[in-house]
Amino acid sequence: MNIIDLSMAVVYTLIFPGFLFTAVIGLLLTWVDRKVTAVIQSRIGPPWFQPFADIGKLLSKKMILPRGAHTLAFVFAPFLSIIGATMAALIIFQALFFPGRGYVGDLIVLVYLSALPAIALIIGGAASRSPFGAIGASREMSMVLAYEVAFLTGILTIIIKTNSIQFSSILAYQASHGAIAGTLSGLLALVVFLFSLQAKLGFLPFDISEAETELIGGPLAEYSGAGLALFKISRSMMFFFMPVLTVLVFFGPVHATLLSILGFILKLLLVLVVLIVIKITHARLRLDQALSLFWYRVSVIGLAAIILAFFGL
Amino acid sequence: MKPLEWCFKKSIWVYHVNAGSCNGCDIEILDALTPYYDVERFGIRLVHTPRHADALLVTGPVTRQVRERLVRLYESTPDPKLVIAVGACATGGGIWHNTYATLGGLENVLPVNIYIPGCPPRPEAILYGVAQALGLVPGVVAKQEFAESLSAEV
Amino acid sequence: MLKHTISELKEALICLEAGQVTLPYPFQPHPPEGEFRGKPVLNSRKCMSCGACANACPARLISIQDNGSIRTLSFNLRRCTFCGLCRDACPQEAITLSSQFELSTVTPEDLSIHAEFGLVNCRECGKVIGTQRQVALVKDKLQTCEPGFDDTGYVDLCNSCKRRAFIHNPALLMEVKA
Repeated sequence: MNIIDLSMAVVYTLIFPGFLFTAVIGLLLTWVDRKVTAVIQSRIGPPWFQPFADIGKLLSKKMILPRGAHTLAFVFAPFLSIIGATMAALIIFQALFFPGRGYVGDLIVLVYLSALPAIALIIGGAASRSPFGAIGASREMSMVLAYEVAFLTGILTIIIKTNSIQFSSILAYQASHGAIAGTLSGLLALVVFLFSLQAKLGFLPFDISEAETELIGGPLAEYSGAGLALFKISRSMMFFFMPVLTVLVFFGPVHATLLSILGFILKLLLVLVVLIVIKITHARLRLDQALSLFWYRVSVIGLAAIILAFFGL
Repeated sequence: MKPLEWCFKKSIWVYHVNAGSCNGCDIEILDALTPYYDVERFGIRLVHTPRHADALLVTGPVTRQVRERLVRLYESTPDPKLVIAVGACATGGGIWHNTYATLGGLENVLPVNIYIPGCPPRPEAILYGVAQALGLVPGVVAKQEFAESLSAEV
Repeated sequence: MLKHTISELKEALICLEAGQVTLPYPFQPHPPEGEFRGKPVLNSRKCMSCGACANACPARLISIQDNGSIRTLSFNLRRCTFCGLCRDACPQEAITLSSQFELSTVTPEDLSIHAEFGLVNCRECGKVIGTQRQVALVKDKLQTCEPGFDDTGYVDLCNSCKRRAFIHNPALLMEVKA
């Protein structure tokens, strides 16, 4: 690997399509989220630069290390979160912008990397030596076990249908065979995917681990300043690339034509609006309700989708 | 204005502390968060832990019991931070200014950045006070002074 | 779950129908309703500094202090509860509660009223008998009750000096006996 390759890799990771690109678009989408919430609640809502002002302010503030916290884990967790989000975003946007750069198994790697922010939350919450953080971390652990199973059934359906674990060949399959969401098993998998997306993004009704009204932020309760900013950035990056992933694997690839790009953006906004509307119209579920919802309903739908996919439906 | 200062002024997350208030001011603070006044326009949000907060919105005359907790809350709020005294009690002790159970106002415990008197203040008054702290609107209240000319003959 | 979702979505639609309800508040004034009690204002032309308001105030924020020939009436409005008892107690109707409610301030000294009035001392012993305005008011009332009444001898005296002067004035004493 020579110096040009190395610097290109750095640019890929940090600027485009890695950290900076995903973070900026993700923060803008966070504004869309807040604005849509405000419109449904009959108010004006924040100006477009609000998420950036929030992040800038958080970065300018002091980060307090709670007394008795495990310093290394406490400081490392936000970075773990943002590294996981950046790497996952990199895999998705490579498949979108540079289809030739993928490798066999990148879908599996993506599944692992997209779970990293949740694991970082667990580490950070447990390291903070706050009862709220500890309860939040344990709740997050239960939720991860619930929604990752559902998420995996969705991914497995796609893998079985396309007979591939590589992103670019999934997109190529859809280009030749039509969108996965057009089939019965694909539609069921999409529903499962949206449910687990809601939980992965920590949105209502599944924000049980953060639960601002009862756990005052759960794992985030002790984070201030830059640590909180990193968690917020990785959350908004997830808010960007997870819907993009959904649109890509269920509605097919995007081509370089204007119509295709517009269609892609429309589908993306549709997924976002579905997530936001579910978020603002629902109250938080209890932990046991959420677990039984995922294990007995959503995962069962996912299993049905897998079985249907086996029979080629 | 430096960019970080600008960010701070555009995004104030407040933490609401009840330091022995009668709940009148607390209800008005909740009113100020309703869609009618929509504080999110100014980037103001109510947060649930002092670690995330930029401003402490303190109501009540600061009872002896709450003093220790109030100081701890202040210390666990990361710098830079604002302290806003809401209501007659926090501003000057209210009708409890000289009772044995209170410390007679917030300024005896914490450095206060802005005072919002009222019993309770209207939601508009709270919004105005926070907007004044952010530099959006000027302060309008002034001292009224009068001295009779002493040469007047009876 | 599904039933719940549908009812929640209906609620969201109802909220959407309301449109935007946010008031353009800090940029446009939003005056309060008619009977609103805002910042107390002292009409210094009417006030005679009698201290009735200081007696009535539940928060004890009105103080009256005599210093030499000056009486200072000061309101510490920081702890004002806007109850309006001072307005009701004032015999001169000098206190009104304005509709001003935007009282937020960085310097709490802004929230005060400070008024100074000249005092009248007893002609004989030098004790304070009241403000110049109070004395003038008494004279005025005496003139309206009994036109032509010569008050110059007694109005400028304190209570005890007045009694003494009364007893030592045989003409008046005789008048009372008759």
